Amino acid sequence: MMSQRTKTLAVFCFFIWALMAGRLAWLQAFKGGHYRNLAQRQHQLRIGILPERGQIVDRQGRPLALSIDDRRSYPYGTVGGQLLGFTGRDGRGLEGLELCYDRELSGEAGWATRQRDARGRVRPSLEYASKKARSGNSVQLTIDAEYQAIADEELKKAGDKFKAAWGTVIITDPSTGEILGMASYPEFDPNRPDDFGRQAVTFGAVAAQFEPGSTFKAVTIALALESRVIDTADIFDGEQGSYAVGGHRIGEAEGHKYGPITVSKALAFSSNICLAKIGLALGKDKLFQGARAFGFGSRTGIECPGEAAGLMDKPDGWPVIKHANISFGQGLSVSALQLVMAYGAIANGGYLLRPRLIKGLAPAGQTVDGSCRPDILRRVISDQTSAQMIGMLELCVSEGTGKVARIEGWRVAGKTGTAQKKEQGKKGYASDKYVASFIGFVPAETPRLLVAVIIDEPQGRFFGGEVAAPVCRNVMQRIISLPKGLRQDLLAARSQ
Amino acid sequence: MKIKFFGSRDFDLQLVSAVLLLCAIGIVAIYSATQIDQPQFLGLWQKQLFSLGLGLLLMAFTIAVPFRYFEAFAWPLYIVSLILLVAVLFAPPVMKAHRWINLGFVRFQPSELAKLATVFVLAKVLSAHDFSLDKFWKLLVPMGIVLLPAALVLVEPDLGTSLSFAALFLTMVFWQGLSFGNFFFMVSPVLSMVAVISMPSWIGFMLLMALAFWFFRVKFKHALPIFLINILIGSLAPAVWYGLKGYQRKRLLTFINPDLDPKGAGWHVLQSKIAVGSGGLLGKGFLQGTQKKLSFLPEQHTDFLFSTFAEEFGLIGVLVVLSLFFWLLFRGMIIARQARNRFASFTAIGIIGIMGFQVFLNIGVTLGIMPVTGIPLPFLSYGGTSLITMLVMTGILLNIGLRRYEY
Repeated sequence: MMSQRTKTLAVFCFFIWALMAGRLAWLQAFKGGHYRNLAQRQHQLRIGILPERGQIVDRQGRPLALSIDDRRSYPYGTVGGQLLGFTGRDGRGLEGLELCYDRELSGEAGWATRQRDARGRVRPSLEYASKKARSGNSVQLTIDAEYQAIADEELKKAGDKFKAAWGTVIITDPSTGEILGMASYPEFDPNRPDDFGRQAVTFGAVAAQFEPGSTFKAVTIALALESRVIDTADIFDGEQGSYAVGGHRIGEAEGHKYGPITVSKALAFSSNICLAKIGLALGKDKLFQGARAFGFGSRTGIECPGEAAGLMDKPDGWPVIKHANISFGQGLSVSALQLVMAYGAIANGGYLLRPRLIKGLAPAGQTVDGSCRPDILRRVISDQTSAQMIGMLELCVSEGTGKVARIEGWRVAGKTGTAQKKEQGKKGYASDKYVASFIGFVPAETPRLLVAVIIDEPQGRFFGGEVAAPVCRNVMQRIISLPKGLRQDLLAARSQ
Repeated sequence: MKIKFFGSRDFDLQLVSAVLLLCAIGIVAIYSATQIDQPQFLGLWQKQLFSLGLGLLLMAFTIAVPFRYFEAFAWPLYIVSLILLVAVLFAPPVMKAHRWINLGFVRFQPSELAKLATVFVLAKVLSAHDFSLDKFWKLLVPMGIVLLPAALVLVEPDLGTSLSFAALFLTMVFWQGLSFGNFFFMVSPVLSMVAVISMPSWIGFMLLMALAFWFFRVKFKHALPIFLINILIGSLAPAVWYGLKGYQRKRLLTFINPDLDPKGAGWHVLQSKIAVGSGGLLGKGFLQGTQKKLSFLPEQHTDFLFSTFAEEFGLIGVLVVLSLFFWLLFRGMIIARQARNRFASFTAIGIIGIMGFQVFLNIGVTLGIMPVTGIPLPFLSYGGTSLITMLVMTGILLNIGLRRYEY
């Protein structure tokens, strides 16, 4: 009896033990992988490692935007503010170059595995896999921080003085197409983007389009010379300041009355009537095609966001008056950068270049070597035409409307512009709204520095020669006066 | 009478080896389980080592005392332990439970003593020459002897220990020769209560019972009351269920499926299963258990020590532990069978019942096949009272083994 009970008990016990062993085999052998996963999910925590954002540096390698402890900082403050743009709290670019080159600047995030205990405390653990973050590339600009600072300063002075709506100063080397400075008014400090309105962030240098006015006259004349419709010495009658075209009257600025004058004088004194005659002589197709060739009506392809293309209607629909207007720069809209590149072509012997803003990308801590080769889009005028144009533009400064831009000891060429603005939502032009502009370059013998100044809706005075030309002169003067190393190109270009 | 320990043919070396190995594994596992960044646990393995030494001394002492003294002192010991069980209810609670009496230098659990005392008394009653279980009512006295301390322990509250009273009772009345019908009669209402969770399972259970009655040729007059009681319980259980408090119901439900509420009541079980399962075949290695190290495992040096061990030593390791336990129980059964003295035999089997039940309940909890009840794993879990009690019980087994030919 007892023996039977022992057996029963032992068998029962064995059965229970087999149950536990089976359960253990199920948990550990069959479901082991599943529970290992669960365990891993509990105690391993993958955390992202943010890469260091690349710097934006000027052509000399000076940082314009850099990251310190995950905070983006712009050591030059308002200098080049709109151009640089800014980043959001997440460190991603929101505006300007920060946005445009976000991918390159961002680098690649890494990750690491951390150990986490039951209370959620996390500790580093060397035994797990990880991936290093790759810092973003630095973007080196063709901008020179000194030039840029000068441009920003002078523009702000003029903008504040004339209570302008907006304004821009663009500095380039016409021989390479490199942008050396590109300022925009009103000012903007990317260190504190929240303190500025939407308007300040907008980068007028590339985003704004406007009627160019007289600065466009150089294009019309260059095209007429190139196609041999006129010669510099040709005489056009100024009609004493009043000329009827297609039932409309064309007048001169400030009520000037010109008689028969040469083409050179017509440009130097910016005669609307003579230019209308030259444009009409050139023909609307040639004017249109030529302007297109100079880059108007299409984006220049600069490496920054929000570029405006300008606006130029097809010539089929042009009435005679429109044809005449376009000849002296009304009735089409352009961007400041388009004007700069067109004048660059006039100055550099006839080559339209693609503007260059980016010198190159380099891994963190390195800079780009060498200078960049000009990116030639096409040849628009001949050497000869270019030389003729430079001569006439020099005359503009030495004797004509741009006298203010003269600099002692340097041959300066340039052209003023005073464009009437269309009344918003109305037909015709406003009587008190102008775009004052001046585009100049030095040294005239081998132009290496081109400065364009656009001031929109200046109050009080509005002539390009009075509002924009001083800014251009100041900028040029200050750049020329910089320590020798910074203006070697200019000195070499000047014939003694 | 002179007793030779190790020289004697009757000294069960196998049993004592199994126990010593289990204790050693326990110390190792406790050492590992306390290597976490909570410094208050760091020295516990040394404390346990001290308890082990004390326990071994008491075990040796227990072996030396002739078991007749246990029989003689059964009732006084039982009365004293009952008094202590009442007294402990007035002791200051530790973690909301009145389980410990603080003697200043040591904390002591009266329920452990009560288990042993109950085994002695029950052994004495059941082994009496004029006692037989031919009539069912004769079970009432033994039942009462067990229910009294079990109820006192239950209100401490300590469900696990209270259940081990039931375990020792069932084992001992089975040993006495309780007929299958009666045995089943006692157990079936509990099974019925579980089966009634769904109607089909309950009907299935009743059919199974009928089949069993037919197979074992249980008399109709015995089968009928069992059936009636089961039907009564089956219909009452749902009423009781809805009388339960929310958290009580939740506990029962999370037992059935702990994954339902991974952050709540099922947390312990789920964490234990993750630790055990992630240990795999060979384990993560000594001190390498991640779930242990990062404190995901609850009560990892006490009630869930087995999970710690399973995580670090894998299936191979736990099978060794299970085998040692089985061998211990098997040797114990042999001793109970061979003992000529009936009191000694009943005492031995009662102790085996307690040990076996506690091992199963503890491991069953860590594996998610038993509801969470706090009960230490014999010989392994941290805790002086439990270890010493188990060693004393081992001493009693060895004692009976040595004197197996004495009447």
